[in-house]
Amino acid sequence: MNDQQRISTRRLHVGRLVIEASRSSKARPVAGIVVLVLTSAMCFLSIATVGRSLAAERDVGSELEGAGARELVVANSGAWDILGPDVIALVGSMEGVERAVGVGAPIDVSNSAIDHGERAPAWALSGDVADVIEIVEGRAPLAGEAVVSVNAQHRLGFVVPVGAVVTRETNGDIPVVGSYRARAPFEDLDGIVVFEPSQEARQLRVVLSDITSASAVQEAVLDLVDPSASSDVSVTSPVTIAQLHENIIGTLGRYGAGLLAMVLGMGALLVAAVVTADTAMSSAEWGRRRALGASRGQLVMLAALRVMIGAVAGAVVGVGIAVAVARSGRWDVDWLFTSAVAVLTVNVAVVATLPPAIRAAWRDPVSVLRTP
Amino acid sequence: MSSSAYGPLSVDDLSFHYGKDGVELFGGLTYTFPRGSLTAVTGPSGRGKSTLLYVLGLLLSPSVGTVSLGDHVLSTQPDAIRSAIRASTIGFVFQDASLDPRRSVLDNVCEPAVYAGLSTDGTRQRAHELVDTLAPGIDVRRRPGQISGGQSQRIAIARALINRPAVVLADEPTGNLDAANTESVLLVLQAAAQRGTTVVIATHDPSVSEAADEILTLT
Repeated sequence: MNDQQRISTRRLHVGRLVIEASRSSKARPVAGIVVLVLTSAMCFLSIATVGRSLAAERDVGSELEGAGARELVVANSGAWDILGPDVIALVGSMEGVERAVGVGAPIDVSNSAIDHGERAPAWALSGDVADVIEIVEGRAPLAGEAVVSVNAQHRLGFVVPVGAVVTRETNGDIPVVGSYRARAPFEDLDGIVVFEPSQEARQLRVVLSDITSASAVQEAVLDLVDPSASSDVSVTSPVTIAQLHENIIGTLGRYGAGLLAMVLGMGALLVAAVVTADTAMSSAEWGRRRALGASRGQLVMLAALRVMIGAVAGAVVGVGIAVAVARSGRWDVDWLFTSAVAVLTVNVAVVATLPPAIRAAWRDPVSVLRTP
Repeated sequence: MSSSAYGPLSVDDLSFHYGKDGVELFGGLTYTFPRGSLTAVTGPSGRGKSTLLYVLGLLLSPSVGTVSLGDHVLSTQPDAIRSAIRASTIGFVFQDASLDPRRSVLDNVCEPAVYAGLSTDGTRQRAHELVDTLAPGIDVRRRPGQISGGQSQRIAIARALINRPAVVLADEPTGNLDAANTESVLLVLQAAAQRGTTVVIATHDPSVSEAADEILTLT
């Protein structure tokens, strides 16, 4: 290797700089400790405020996204047959629809083995029975068969969910083949469910896959059902809830983002102030390092690494405090958000270091090296 | 690579002034500092002795003219390259030693190796050897505040030599020392010159001029 090769080779030894940054931080700990305190406060405040806001947003979101909130009901009280099995099957196959069933008007039934026994409501059901109920005992009903809810079974006097019920209207028996528990949002169907796949329904009950698609799905369903054909059709819509969901999530999201930006922004300003003060007080050190061969880039990197060491320690402390407070019962820890905040805090602190470090690195070293 | 592998340090038609209205220094100086020699730069105050060292050390750029090492013009290189050259090829000694008071003697001596990217183990071994040679008896774990001024200056010289530089630039290295310490520091710098390093000392001290191989007087 000749002179030119040797003297023109700038090798960036990050490992050596990390060691140097670690040793110089240890030798001059005040700035590092202040950065540690600042970043731990940034981390803790972010997790304690934004993290909790995020948890609240999630809770509200899950409430508003529950099956009950995602239900669209089209009820037909007129004489027109507009909710036949074909319509229900078509709606059930639509994109954005999780479940679609047809429910008939309720009728009273009683245990056929008990004269003048207690009565319970019964609904004819078309569509997939498994979408509405969960069989607890016995088996799923075939066409013309019924199952009884766990509550109604005792009320109607069934020791086991097998037998028959009788309707006052028809006075005919309907075989009972099992018991069920209704799935959300069909908890109101607490009585008897009779599987009648080919019967015209009075209600079309649609559970949407996603509340955000409520408006589009509702439009598609109503296009198919064509409620304008009858003035006796009413629609219970989840669109208002969807709008509310969107507004609440949007508001909470903006609030959280604003709060996070404020906490990290304030922290960044304070870190920059600490680095500015530190570099001003260490101008002789920076001049000496320049004279001994440090490039401006190495000086900036050294300053950033020193802050990074303090910031990493601060993030660990801040997360530790936040987790300890959370575990004391105040709120649940979202580890993904917590990790993201820790990484973001360290990055913000390092980026905040750059302007004062660059300014200091471009300062004339000779002015501080001269001995009067 | 030993320091003798480099060509001589030279300046050609060198002038420098601070700012636009500053006094012009050196007046087109052309000079070659012989390799392996100790040159004393003397002259009245304000003639730019320290400034010449900073120009030779590539911390300042000449207003006119060039600084070269062998056939290679160094002063026109970009700052990053000049820093790399300074790290690998030039050692600085300051009047007040300029050691980091919060770091150990060993860390102070090893500092330039960080910027030159030399290995930690090799550097620490060489630092021990240099301290044993230049300032025997000093515990390298001590802080600069726990050793004398003469010892501090010899530690500063050890730091300047850690990367086996071709050139050592010393700005009034004996300015704060008594006669005995001045003599010991000069012996150390003379020994470095004898091993092939080009040593340039800016000084007011007649004893330094007497010990020098060459004298460059700025008038």
